[in-house]
Amino acid sequence: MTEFDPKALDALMTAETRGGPVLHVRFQGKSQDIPLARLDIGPGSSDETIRQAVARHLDVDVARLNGTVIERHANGNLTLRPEAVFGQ
Amino acid sequence: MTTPREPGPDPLAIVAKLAAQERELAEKPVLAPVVAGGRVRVRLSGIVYQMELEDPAFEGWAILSMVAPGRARVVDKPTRSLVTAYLKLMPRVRLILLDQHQRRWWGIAAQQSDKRFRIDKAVPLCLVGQAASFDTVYARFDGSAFWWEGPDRRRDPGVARGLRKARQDDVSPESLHVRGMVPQERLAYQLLWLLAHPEALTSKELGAILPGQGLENRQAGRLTRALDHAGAQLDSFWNTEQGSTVVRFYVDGREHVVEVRTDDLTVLSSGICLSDMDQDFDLTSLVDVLREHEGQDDGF
Repeated sequence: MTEFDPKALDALMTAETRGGPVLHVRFQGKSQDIPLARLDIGPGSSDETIRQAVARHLDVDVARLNGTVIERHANGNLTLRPEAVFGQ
Repeated sequence: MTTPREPGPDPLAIVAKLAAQERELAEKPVLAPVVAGGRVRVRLSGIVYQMELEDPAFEGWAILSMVAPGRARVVDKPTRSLVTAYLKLMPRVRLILLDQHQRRWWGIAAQQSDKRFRIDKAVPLCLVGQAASFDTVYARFDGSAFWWEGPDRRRDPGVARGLRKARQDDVSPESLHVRGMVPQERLAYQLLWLLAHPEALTSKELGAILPGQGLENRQAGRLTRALDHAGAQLDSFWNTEQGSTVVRFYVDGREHVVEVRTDDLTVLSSGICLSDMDQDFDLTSLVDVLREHEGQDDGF
């Protein structure tokens, strides 16, 4: 009898549709995903370039994105998020 | 022009509050279920404390005493009536057992009409007593885990026996006939049969066999995409009556349980102390934060 594997079951039940790399923006309590191609940036773009592209997209002053953190993921996606403040 | 940032919470007050809670935890023995690996979580005023047992092999119900920050010792075995009273504090659900994986039972909801929870996937069930595949059992849900309560003695055990025999004989779902079987028991059988026969699985068949739970499962797909963006893996999730979703997932092999708002995945409870700023993040952006927190290795 095949060994029961919940993860295999999960994979069977979950759709996996993937396109090009995406920037996930979490800003002022709202989230959105923007394809990097639409922002004319790539995973290797500098933080400054990414913030400027996001500011243009959101139509906000780039200074409002000061203090945000940009994470680069192994799959080519990016995340722009607020800085985390950890308690002790 | 920059927007002035509002003053954040007083860090000293947060530290004092956490210290007081830790003292409270150290002074009082606590009753808790413990699973293999020796980790136990205690929630105090919304903060989840994770402790490791001195005996990592221990599994079961225990009365624990915190012996040092992050470490606990089993000091007594609770009576059955105490465990029953504890379990009664949590909502009850009926599950149909599927099979064991790494010594843990998994099951699906025995009925889909339960308005309190929407259990869309197979869920792990902890501290299971004597049981077998397709048994209908009672469990209690604490917000992140399902705990075994006992078998549903009103359910005809002949149905589960019939399903086990059919599985042993490798009967296909189309040919399955067990007297008294209900739709969720048939679904449990189909799931196990499909896992044993992946060659029979096409997306079309999956959609037909698992209506509402296959490729069209929008919520599962949304959570998976949200986590996959940052390289995390969805394990399971449960919706609560309060309009939130509890999500269990893995980041770099480490398990996390997080409560998010169902509609926009804003974090309600991250399981770590984010200075009451949990809602600044959503599920996707939290993945990075959890990595950063792990990197700090600051215990609790």
